[in-house]
Amino acid sequence: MARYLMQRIITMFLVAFFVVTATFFLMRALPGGPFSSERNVPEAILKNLERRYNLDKPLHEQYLDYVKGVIVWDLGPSFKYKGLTVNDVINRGFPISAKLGGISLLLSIVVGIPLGILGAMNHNTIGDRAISGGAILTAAAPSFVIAGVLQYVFAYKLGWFPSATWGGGQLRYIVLPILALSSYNLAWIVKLTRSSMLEVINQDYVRTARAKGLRELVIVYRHMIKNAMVPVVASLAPMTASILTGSFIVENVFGIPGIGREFVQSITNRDYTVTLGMTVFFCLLLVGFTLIADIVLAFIDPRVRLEKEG
Amino acid sequence: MTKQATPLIEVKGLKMHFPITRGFPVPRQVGAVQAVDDVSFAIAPGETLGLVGESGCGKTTVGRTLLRLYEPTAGEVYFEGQEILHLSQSEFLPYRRKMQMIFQDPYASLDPRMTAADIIGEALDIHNLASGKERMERIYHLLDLVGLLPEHANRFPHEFSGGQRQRIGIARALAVEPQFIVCDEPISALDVSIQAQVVNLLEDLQQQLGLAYLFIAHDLSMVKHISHRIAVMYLGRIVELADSDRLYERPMHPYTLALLSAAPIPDPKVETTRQRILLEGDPPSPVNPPPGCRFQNRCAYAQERCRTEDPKLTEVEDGHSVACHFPVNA
Ligand SMILES: Nc1ncnc2c1ncn2[C@@H]1O[C@H](COP(=O)(O)OP(=O)(O)O)[C@@H](O)[C@H]1O
Ligand code: SF4
Ligand SMILES: [Mg+2]
Repeated sequence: MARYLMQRIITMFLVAFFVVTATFFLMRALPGGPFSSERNVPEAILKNLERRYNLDKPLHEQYLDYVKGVIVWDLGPSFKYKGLTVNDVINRGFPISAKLGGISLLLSIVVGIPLGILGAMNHNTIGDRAISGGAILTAAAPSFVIAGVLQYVFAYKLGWFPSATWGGGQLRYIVLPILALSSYNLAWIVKLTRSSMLEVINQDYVRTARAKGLRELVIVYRHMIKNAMVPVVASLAPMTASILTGSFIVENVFGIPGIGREFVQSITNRDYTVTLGMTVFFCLLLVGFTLIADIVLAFIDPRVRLEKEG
Repeated sequence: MTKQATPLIEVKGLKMHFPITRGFPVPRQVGAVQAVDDVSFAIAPGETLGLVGESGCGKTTVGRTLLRLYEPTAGEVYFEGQEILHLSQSEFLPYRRKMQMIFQDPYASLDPRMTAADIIGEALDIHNLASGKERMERIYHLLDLVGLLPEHANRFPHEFSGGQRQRIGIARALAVEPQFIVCDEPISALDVSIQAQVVNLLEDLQQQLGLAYLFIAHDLSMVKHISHRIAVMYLGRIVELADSDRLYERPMHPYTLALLSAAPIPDPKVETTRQRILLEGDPPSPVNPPPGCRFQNRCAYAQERCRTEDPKLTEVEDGHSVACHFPVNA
């Protein structure tokens, strides 16, 4: 187990390092400098600006500086927000996004898993078909469509919720964004839980348990659900990724001042350091969640634990 | 071993038809897979009944249905004279102890998240058979009984070879001290070199513990050695039932003949006398079995009567039953 953990952590650092490097050079390879949108800047001032942001140094020095910065978690100043650092931009948006994302993820899990189990336990009944049909439809709809429909129906038509404003982030402001953000994951968890339960239901070890004389409820919990959860836990990282990408759209549609909207704005603003810093931040977040998923997986599935230890 | 002994298990008119449902959004039943259709047999204490037939003929379904792993369509199963299919779950629990199953696939039959000790221990716990120090001792004893070592107790299924897993499956079945075990092709998934070991283990255990087996195989050569009597199954029915030696010396059903001619028998006496018959075509679908004899479309002996009249399993000589209008060697 310790060896497995070490392996995962080392891999995580390698991936993070690779991501920082790749993002840094890709950003530099993009055409147009950070100040090229500001027209008619005199040559001298441009030089001055570039010196201030260290853009006049050779590329490899800039790269080394950047890596050092990431290690001490100092992502440099923002180009657009005078007086703000990239860390400031992340620190101010992240709590909001994390709250929305966290609740969405929790909601998908808490609602999705029981629905999936219910569907599988009533396989091929009308209830099961309603559940999986709903899940397929929801998963097929892109999040901007879901966000738009929710806005239109519940905010504009019915007026139950405020539309496209953030307010102070009280309950009535976050209900629709959370629904929009969790819809895809919810559908995904329902489908995954259902299909993985269906697979487990027909396993011989479930029959073995029944032949032993175990009570049905215990069989369902101990032998079916616990085994069926393995693929669901394994998809924790992709689900986090979908929350991140979902937040780019949902935060814009609902006018939420989180890092998703901040990220999209930084791209339109050509705010290089913010875009770069946030990409690195998102990647580290993902890598972190992958690690968490790997650890949980090792706890619930001995095959993972031992296979990797060799 | 003949049927004079009081049967431990008696199966009467067992039917298992799996419903086929279609339709959206409301599913309806449109037909049924007649996996097992009117099967009857008996097994004496300490006896092994071999059950053979091609894949898909319903052997597994027979085994599972008589252990109530499926809800049967019709029929009765008696254990020491007590009908068990219609007992309530709690009334049936004591019989769970007496009847166990060993599965074909040693990879799928053990919960991958449980150690060997957990798997065996769970069975002990359900029936309150042992606890604390005694429980662990029982587990070690059972591991020893199937030829495994105490240090195997804390390993997970995937750390074992196929043969070892099958031994865990056997230890698990033995944990509750059953009198009867359904062995559903317990060696088909194993390497040939391991097969004999597992069969020998099952035979030793039978000797020591007085177990009765329903030993399922798709191939006659596998059951000849271990079975006292053999039942041959075709498309959900038993077509021939006889003492093991008798079946080899004097097979009567054309299907048994065909099975025998497919399997090499290490017995020169049988080898020289048996006829060569090759099976052509596939068995009909168990959804729509043909009227009359179910074997008619592949039978070299079929006549007009076979297309309309369903042959019943009847005893043609002492302890030898066959379901055919024109039995061979009769
Ligand atoms: N749970 C089930 N639902 C529907 N059909 C089944 C089920 N189990 C088995 N069958 C069908 O019943 C027939 C007999 O299967 P089985 O008992 O597994 O045969 P065997 O063990 O002899 O290979 C096959 O046609 C199979 O497709
Ligand atoms: S009843 Fe007729 S078709 Fe069926 S096995 Fe006998 S001879 Fe063949
Ligand atoms: Mg089978």
